[in-house]
Amino acid sequence: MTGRSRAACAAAAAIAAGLAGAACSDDDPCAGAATCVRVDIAAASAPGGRPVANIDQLELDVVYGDHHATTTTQAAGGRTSALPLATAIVLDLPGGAAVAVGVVAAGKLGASVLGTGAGSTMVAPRHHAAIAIELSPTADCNAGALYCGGDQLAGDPQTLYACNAGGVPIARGACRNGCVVRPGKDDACSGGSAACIEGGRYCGGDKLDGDPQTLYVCMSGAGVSPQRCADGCAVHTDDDDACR
Amino acid sequence: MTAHVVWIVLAAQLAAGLARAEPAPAADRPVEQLALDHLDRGVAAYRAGELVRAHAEFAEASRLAPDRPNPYRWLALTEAALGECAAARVHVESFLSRVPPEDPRVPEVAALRERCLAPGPTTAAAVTSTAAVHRGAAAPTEAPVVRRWWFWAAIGAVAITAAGATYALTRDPAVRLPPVTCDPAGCHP
Repeated sequence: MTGRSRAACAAAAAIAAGLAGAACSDDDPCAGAATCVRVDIAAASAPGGRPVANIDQLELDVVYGDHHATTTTQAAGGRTSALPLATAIVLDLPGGAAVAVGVVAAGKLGASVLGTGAGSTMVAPRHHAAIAIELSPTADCNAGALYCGGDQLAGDPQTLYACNAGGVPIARGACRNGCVVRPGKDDACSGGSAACIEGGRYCGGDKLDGDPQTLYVCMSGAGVSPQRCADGCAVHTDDDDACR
Repeated sequence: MTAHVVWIVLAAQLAAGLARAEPAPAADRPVEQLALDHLDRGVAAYRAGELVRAHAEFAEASRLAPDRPNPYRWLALTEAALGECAAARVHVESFLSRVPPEDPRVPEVAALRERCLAPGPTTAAAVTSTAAVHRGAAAPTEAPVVRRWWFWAAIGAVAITAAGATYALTRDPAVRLPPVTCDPAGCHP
């Protein structure tokens, strides 16, 4: 090996060592977890307004596979944290299939929601994935009303959410046939092209428009007599749908 | 005009060749050239620290051109560097017997002989001394430290390490919130 090539090798090794050192200094919130989604939270630019700068609580509405839950994470002692920040969603699920993970985040300060944002990804078992969410100042939504993501509230456009005035929008469920924005009334999951059978019972979004956690009776192709299901609504292919 | 230039170039090349070679009969020119080639290769090997190969090249040059003094000088230098002072002394004498006393290479070779005659001439000290003689007279002087292959690599490594350390120590620590765990029963911090 010539002097020049030895010098080149040494320089390359030095650079690699330096870069490795810099990389190692950035601790991963998913470090040590088997199946994990890293969630990076930043403030969206807010034209004409002030971007979200600090929060003391991060509320997360998580749809993962067939499951849905809402939870909160915050810094030790409830202290205020400046954006950007990161956290992790560690998944502990049976099965070997990749799952879709949809997250709606609400940054709160003093119990007030300053901004919301959403993101989604797929993650395979024993793998890591990442979601980047920008918190935007919240639009005005009517508490309890249903909205598709992106319509007055942050979220996945193919998921129906309930407006939660005091926190993160609550997912009602992913819409198999898309989410329909209906000005003047609640948005709904589309029932798709197949017609419902008169008198049959259907979850919203299964052959009739509606909330996927509500059971309806089919009448003239539309859902009537809504019955909210406390634990969700189960779609049956060869029988009436039913509350779980 | 062009013919003049051609003659000037040829004359210059001839002069350069004569200056490079030691005086030799015209009839011996091919062998002389062969010996010079071995000598050149030997010098290159010597400077690269490949002393055994250098010695072989010098020995071949000496065999091809036994009347020429320079191969003996290089043989002596190489043998001294290898710690073989007895052989080096023989080649020193062979060299000195073939050059006039005023030859500019004589002091160098004489110094080599003196070192080889000193007590313990085959020791590593003798080799080191011989190498010093070589550095001082027969080969280019040792490169300054800033021209060593490792110098700038070391400077680069120090600079990158310092930059990385500065970055790590001065950057804002990334804010981390505790992770949440989601299982079939729900999500919880």
